[in-house]
Amino acid sequence: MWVDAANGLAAARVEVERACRSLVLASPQALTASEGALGRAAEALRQGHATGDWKPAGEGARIELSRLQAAIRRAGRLLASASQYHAGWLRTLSAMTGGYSPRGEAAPMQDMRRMSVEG
Amino acid sequence: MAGITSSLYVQAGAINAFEQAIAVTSANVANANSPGYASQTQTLLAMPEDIAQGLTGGVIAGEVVSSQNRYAQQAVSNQQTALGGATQDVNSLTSLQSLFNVTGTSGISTALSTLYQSFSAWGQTPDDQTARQAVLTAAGNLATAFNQTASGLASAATTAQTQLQQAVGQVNALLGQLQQLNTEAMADGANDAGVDAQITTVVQNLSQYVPVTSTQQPNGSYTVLLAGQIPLAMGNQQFPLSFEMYQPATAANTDAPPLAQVMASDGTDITSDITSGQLGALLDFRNTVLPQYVGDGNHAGSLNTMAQQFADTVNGILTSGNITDASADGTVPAVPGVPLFTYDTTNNTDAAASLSVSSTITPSQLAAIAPGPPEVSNGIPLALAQLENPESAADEIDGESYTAAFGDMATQAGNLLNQATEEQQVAQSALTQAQNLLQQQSGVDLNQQAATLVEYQRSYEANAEMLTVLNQLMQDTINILEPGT
Repeated sequence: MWVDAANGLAAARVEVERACRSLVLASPQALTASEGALGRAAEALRQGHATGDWKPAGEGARIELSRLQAAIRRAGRLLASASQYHAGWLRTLSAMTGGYSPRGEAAPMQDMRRMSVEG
Repeated sequence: MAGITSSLYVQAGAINAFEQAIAVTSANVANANSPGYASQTQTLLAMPEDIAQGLTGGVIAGEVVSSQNRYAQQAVSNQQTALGGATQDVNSLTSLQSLFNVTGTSGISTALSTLYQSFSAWGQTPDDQTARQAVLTAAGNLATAFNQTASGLASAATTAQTQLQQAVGQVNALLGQLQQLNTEAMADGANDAGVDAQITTVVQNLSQYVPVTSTQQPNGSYTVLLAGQIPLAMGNQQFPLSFEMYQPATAANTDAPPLAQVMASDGTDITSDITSGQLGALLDFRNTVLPQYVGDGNHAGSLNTMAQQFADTVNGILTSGNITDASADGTVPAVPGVPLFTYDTTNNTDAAASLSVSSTITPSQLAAIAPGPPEVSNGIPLALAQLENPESAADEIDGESYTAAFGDMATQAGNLLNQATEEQQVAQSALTQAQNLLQQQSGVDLNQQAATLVEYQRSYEANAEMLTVLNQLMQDTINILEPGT
């Protein structure tokens, strides 16, 4: 039986938009949350494919498809900007802590984690 | 005795150091609500102690370290620039799109359709004066629609020019503030956190207009560069921008709409360096987007090309026909058709604005007879009606009908606006993200950051993998729902 894909696509979009909100927060916890939301979006699409009953797009599905594409593009851009930010900061920190290599590249990041032993 | 004296020195130094620390803390409290303010930390330096060498030990006040992360500030500035550009794009393109309405009851699309219908009706009753008058009226309406669209585009160009002038003025006003603040910062010996915060705010405001990078100098002033290389502010100096409209030396048509250019304080043309921010968006709209429609010194623009080609095609068909036949005995020659449309032929960027129906043409002067052979009494109106669904390249523009070509212009304007709207949403989110990252990083020590960065890296990789999977599933979904696209 054919069903309109609009609902499935909308469910996926809601999850991608949730991921976008997490990516805007960009804390380690929020990034974990965004990973989960993207996973649920993928699962929503996978389920739609698995049932094999999505019919060729009606107007509602076409609109949802376009919205979902835009949301995925937005998530990609936000992931890229956050990732570039931290990659750049990592390079800066590396240069601050380790200087530069003879080739002018920032030195590898020194491990600055500390161990605390009690007892 | 030496012990007591040295002890007194140590205590005096400590008191001095802690007084400075208290001053810094007071500044933090006083500026807690100042936009752009970063809390300061007073470092205390331990002094060597060697009584024999006269080194008394103790602590002195070290350099004030700003917890504000310059790197994070720059990231916020970059996103301010992106948002400034995207917002301006949305404003400019919204006005552009309204000129290319293909669904309403007015505009070029509707006028074209009505003119084709009038040609068709004239073809059915070629001698009917009412049908002929309807052709003249519809042609006049189409010319008016072209005039109005051209006028709307000219108005958009004027608005963009005014906005460019204002944006350059705003940039220069901010540079004036920066010069004053830099002078104060230098006078305060690089330790005035309040001035520092004000400079940060000015730089953020500047970022909305142009892409800037800022670097704090040891004397407390900020060096601000446009596009990483053009000085805008250095120490107590400012380097204001200027703006003018010009016709490139390579322009073949010197009467064409001029282009906008922005110059650095030394008069160098830096237009191509301003690719983002509100100023970048305005320059792109004025110098690239609008000329696609209205032309520039080297091309007519799609709207003018369309107006000119349509007028030439209609005129060509009409003048190939006859108003009346030659007499059977050949003593009275046939009266050839006359052109319907006129336009300014001296300036190819003025075709749409100047398009009009010939002031001398009357309904009876519309040539209906295609001389052939064979002669067809309504051949000309039928040929004109055929323009709606052309069958020969001569009746097309860029390989399609005039209706489709105008639809393409409208689609292009609509797509540009859609992209700009999406870009604006992304830029707004990315700015909030950069502000959040600035907030998170402020005041976090390097050890903690190093550990967190490793955590971030893992999260980014996981998110990127998930997004790759999602993109693939999305492509599969498109294939299922819209096969063949």
